[in-house]
Amino acid sequence: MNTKLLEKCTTFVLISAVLTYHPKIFALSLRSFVDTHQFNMHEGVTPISHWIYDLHMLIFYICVGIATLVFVAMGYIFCKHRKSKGAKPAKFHDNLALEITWTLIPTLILVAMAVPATQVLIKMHDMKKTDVNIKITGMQWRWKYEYLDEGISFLSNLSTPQRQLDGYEPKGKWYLHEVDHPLVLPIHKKIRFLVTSSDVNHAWWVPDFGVKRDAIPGLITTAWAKIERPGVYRGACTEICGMRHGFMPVVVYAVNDANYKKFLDHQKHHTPLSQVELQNMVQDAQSGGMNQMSSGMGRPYSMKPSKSSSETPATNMMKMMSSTDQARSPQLDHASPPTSSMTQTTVSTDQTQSAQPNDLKTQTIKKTSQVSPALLAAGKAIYTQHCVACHKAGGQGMPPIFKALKGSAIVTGPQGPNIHILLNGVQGAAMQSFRNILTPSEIASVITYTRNAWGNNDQSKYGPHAGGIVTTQAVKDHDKTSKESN
Amino acid sequence: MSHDHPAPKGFIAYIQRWLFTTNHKDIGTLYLLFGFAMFFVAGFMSLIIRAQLAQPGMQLVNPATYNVLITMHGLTMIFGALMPIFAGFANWQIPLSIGAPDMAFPRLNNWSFWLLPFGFAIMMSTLFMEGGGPSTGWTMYAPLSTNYGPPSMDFLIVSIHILGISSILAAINIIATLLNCRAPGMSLMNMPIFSWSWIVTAFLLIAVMPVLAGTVTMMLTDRHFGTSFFNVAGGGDPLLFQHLFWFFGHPEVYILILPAFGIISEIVPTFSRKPLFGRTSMIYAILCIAVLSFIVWAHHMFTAGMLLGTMLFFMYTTMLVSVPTGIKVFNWVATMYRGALTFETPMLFAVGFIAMFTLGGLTGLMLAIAPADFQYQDTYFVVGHFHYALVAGTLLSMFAGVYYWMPKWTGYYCSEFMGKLHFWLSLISVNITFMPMHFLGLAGMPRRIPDYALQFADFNAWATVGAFIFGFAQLIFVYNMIKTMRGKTEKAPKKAWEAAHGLEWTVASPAPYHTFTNPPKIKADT
Repeated sequence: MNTKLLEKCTTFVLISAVLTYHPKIFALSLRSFVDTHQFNMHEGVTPISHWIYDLHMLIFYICVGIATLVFVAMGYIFCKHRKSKGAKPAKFHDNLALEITWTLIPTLILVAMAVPATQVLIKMHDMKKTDVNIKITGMQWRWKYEYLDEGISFLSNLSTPQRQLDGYEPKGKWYLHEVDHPLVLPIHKKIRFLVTSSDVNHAWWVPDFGVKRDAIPGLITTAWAKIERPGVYRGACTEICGMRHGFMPVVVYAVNDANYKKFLDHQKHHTPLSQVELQNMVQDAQSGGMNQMSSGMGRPYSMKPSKSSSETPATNMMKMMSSTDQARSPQLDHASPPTSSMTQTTVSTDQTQSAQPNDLKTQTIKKTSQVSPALLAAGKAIYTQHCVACHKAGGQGMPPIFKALKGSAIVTGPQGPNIHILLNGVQGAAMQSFRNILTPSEIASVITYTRNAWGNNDQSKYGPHAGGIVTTQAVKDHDKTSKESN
Repeated sequence: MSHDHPAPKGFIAYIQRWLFTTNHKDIGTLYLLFGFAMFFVAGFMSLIIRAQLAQPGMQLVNPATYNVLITMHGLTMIFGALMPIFAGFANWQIPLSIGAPDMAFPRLNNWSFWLLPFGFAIMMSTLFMEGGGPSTGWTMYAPLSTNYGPPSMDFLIVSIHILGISSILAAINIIATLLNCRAPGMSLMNMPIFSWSWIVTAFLLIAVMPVLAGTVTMMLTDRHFGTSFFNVAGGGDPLLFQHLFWFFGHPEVYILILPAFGIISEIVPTFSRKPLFGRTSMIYAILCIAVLSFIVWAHHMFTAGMLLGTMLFFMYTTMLVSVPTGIKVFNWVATMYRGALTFETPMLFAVGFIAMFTLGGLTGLMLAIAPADFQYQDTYFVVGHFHYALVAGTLLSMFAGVYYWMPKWTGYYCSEFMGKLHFWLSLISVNITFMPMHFLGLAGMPRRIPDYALQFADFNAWATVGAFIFGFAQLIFVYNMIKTMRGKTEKAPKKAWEAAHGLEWTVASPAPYHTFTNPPKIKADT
């Protein structure tokens, strides 16, 4: 009895406290909470996403119906058939008619669900008559986009600074949902996505397109989309792919046809458009006929201006992007096909030792006590983008998983093994291959930076190999010899 | 405890008694204690995960450790907590409820338990290894686990082999017991429903654990012996791993839920004071779910790309599972209908199970719809779904079972007040934790990420608060159990619950060390 009283009192106090204390404030805050939080699936901007949304809502309502039925029945029984209310137990324990009913009716409901689901599935598999073909290659931990009809390709990396992740800087509006080089697509065209991977499994997902496909090495999965509205659409990798799985977002800018052609021209002439210019293209297209601004995954950001900031998403974006744009221009690297890069990464580390004498012959190592600040700054910029997440700004790493670079035997030793690890990664460890991610000159400058930072160039402490400049030629030569030795 | 052997004294004797015991009650107790201990270990990991996810930013663990934590949380909960706890129930209750003196193979029984601590010692040792523990998620997808896996993967593979052997041996023992050791006069169809759920589970275990063993062995040879089962560069196929894994994995999730159905089907009639409604169809429903579990596996892989026809097949079969599952829920409700209900702690947990499992089942039906699955797959919607089935479902059924049979095991009732407090805190917090996950998944948050975009912040904060309440609510359970085991609560009679039904309630409470040395007489209606 004591317990029951306690239960009732607690419930009553809780509900009444919330409801009667400030009913208006409660109602208002509930309203604003519902308005600013996405509860449901994205309706999206492609036919597939609409079909999926409709199907989702249909099944959702059926499920709500079934759950309501079960809960109402249970609630009724709990109230009426309590022993404390003098209920006497009945004796029945079978009813064939009833059991057949609740086998047949759910089966019929299932058929009612299966029919529209089958129709949608058939339409999703229709890959005929595509206008644009995009090959998407997942790699640890970035996306590579290839415009198959145009011969253009580039990599797309997370552009949120590491300092925001670590909490040293306030988090930007598109924290973890922003990239250096977004995929740019035309609206009103049937786009085919061919998704694959060059290392482990990934999955490419843009909720607003209703497109999620696993990226599996050696396999190509396909999907299509016809984007109805210009905008910026954001998604992420959804298959665990190693340490930085949570840090490989997808950003797609959908622009009109004229602007899409302009984008392609700029890419072909190695003068890529900045994100600010792309953002303007999106806005142009939106103002021309479209009055709805849709620029993101969350409803608060797409439908209404955010209450926390008076800036529009566009101006915010411009601010955020202006810094990262200068960091690195897109690489037009026509990388080797996935399978060959896979075999390269399986080179075991003990081959490093045997490859070393060769390298020494081919390399011309310039020994200088001082490395120019400009060279170090260039290396540091690459380090900050690609290495700092694991090896940390001070080179201390996060042992035992992420090795320290400061005072490391490899970074302070001969250059051969150092270059080898950057090119091939370390099998069975978090260190990945950068052969297809960075250019030889970038690899050279980032190694030069690590060899001269944090006191690593102290030859009295680490021996004659410490410090020095790694030349682009040395990286190219090493790449060649290690390919030949395979 | 023993009444017909002189009890030896001293520390060594105490160790020997538990190490060498072949008594089903002792082994059942060991399984239960081990299972709940591992539940707290894996639960602690989940609290670290939730603390990291409390707000955006990398504040507590680094991404690599995070991946290790989600992997170990999953593996430990499944192989260390849920399966051993159910095996504990099986050891205690199967011989007692079918009138057998012990399990069919008592020494095998001892071995199948004692493999577990050693298997887990190996698995846990990976946490302290250079290069970190396995960080692939419990699904261990190749090539992340093969060419790219840390050295500790090998230890995980060995550990899975040991745990697999343990499960197979336990399953063989349970099948042999149920087929051969029933009291004379007890037909198969008259076997208690909990035993029925376990015999089906045991067959599932025997069918799929060897598949898992084979799969991880292929992983091992890919890693070290130059084979290329899952390596594209050598002509293998990473998709093969997913097919093999889920051929094991889907029956495995039913292994984790079928005994829960059994426990609930024992408890609901007791506190409704009415026989189980549609007993025969309940048994066929279990069989039906078990058979279907073998032909639905590829619904875990809809986004991995497959032919239209294949996808339709797996969509239809998966949707079919909801028919027998629905029958079970409807029959439990019909059992309560026009009964005389009382809500002691076991019954509270049982009806909590029915309500929560209904929700988990319905989101499962949503996930079965292949086109919609393209949006749900690998998001927090899936995380919400299976935690409703496994925490709000399986775990609540385990608490129901413990509160229900504790009087038989110890001779004392658990504290009703603490039991009810435990129930309400658990039920409310489990919903605060896992309900927002559905919203997060639909809004676009992928699973297995250590950090997230700002729009997901509020619901994640809720989930973290809920998880911590849930975690600390379990301490009430621990305190209640210790108090009961030490005999500080009300003494229980032979038939601990007014309308309890079954042979276990015909022996004294606590159950004597040896029971049914002479087989009991079975009345026609039992």
